[in-house]
Amino acid sequence: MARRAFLLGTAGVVGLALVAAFEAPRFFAPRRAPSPFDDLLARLPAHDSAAHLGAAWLAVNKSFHAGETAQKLRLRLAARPLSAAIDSDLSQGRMLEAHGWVLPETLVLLCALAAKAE
Amino acid sequence: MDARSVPAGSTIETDLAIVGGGPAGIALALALAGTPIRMLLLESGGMGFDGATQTLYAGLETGVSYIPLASTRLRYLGGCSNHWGGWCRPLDPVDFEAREWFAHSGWPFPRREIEPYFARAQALVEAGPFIYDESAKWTQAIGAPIRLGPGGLYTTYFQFSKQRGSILPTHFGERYAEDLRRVENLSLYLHANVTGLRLASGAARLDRLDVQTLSGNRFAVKPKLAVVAAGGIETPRLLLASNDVMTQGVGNAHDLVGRFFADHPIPGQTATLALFDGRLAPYYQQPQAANGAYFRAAFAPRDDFRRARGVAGSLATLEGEVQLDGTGLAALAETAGVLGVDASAMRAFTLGCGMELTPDPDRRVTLVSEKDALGMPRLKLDMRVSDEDFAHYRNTLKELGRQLLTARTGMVRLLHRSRAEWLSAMDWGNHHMGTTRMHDDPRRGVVDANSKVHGIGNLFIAGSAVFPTYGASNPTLNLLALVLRLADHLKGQFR
Repeated sequence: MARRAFLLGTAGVVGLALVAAFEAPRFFAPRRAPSPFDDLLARLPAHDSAAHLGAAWLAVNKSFHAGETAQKLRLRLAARPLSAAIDSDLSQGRMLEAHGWVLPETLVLLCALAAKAE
Repeated sequence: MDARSVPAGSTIETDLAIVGGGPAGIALALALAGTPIRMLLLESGGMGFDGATQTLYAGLETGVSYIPLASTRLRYLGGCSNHWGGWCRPLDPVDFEAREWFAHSGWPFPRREIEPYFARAQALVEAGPFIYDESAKWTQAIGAPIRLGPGGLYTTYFQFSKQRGSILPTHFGERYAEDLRRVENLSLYLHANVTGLRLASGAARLDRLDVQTLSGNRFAVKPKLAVVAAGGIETPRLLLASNDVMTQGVGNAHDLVGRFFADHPIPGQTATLALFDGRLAPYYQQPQAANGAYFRAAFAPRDDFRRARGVAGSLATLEGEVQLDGTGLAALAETAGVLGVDASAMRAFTLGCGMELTPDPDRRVTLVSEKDALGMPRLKLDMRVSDEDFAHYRNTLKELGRQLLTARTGMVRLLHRSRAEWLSAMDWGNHHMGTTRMHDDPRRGVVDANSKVHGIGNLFIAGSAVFPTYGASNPTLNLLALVLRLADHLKGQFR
């Protein structure tokens, strides 16, 4: 019995450790309140860097309207992946400057929404 | 010969007088070697730098900050080739075209008019075989070029004048002094400052040149033909100061002499280029040897892009490696992520450039009342750069950024937005152009398509002073091609 209890106990501890290992990053990650743009922001690779870049663009584009932009982007991204929208920007020459970086418009606008969602 | 030992008050008769012993004057003399034309080449300086002679160049400047007039040129045999960097590249065909969106643009002939002379010009600058944009055949062995998506820019190649150990490119005075001595139909006079172009009555022909030395000697040269090859600043000075018959100056009936001055702005650190995979072939940063030539890659706008987008010429080079700031790293992370590329080995580099200026009649040199040691009026340069000129280059760099992203190769950051930012980074190429511009119409140009001064039967101008539109390429190779074409024309004049 003692051996069986020991094995069960060990398995329990290992299981808890595994769960903790997988869940800890999410547990300790900075909490962000839900935003009206989360459906769009989910398409970005990383929220923090997107918000950083977006804030730089917003600093010189004060008249940005988040709601209108989100609506425009939802239409643009409705039936295609983000990569296709980016390719379309590149082929159509729809480029914006964020902190001087010449980038596809869709990416910069998504980053601006990420900054607004902060 | 030393002009200081010429008998004072004498008059030397010759077929052809060449004023100025820089690359243009030397190339012209060599091109006419062995012909029946008796030539006389008059150089202000000696075989090396002399402070008193150099001071003759001193002048005033207003407007945008520019290199002091006393140091942007060199006044001894070889002229500005004594401090050039050896960068060579032919002008592009579009540089010769009249373009509605580019004020005062256009040459009186297309590029093909001077193309037959490029090979000989290339030999004079000792830049090896004439390869340029064919260099890609040899660059592959050194490293792959940066991949660009379809669009307005392409990788172009400079070639370089021969390097001689610590002596940088071909210094025309030092390199060709012995060749000039061997030309039997040439007399080379050093320390010979031409201080006046004296017209015959009626002002339709040049009668004689007044020559002075700093030691006080004076004599005259009476040529059948004369070619002023004194550079883009000194040539208009000599024409404007020769105002005894034509009160507004020789060749200046339409107030054009000295106007349209240009140089190539070469602002540093105009942009950052990040390469996702970090791989950069060495010929982008330093000249590399291959197939008997030294070459270096740059990004240039294609002719059709320049026509379609209305942008001026420019050439962007990769310079030193730099680190990205936090926002740059954020931009990299997001961009690489959405493009699906691995940027873990990313490296970033600054971009330098050479830009073309829009021809501007108010960017000019004029005479002032102050005189130099020879009694010649000094010059004032009014230097200008328009915001439009910076905008042309920004638009070109934005296209480069778009093409890099399209190819999943990298990305570009533009560093200057405001005029103040551009001007704070400004430097200049020492390429003096445009002040005696070429045009078939005497109301729009000082010289005609053969470089002859309008209205004066026997006076010509050689060098980049006649460039009516400038392109972004360094002028030496191109002005030499133009000089060799002039030499052929002058041979015809003496038949």
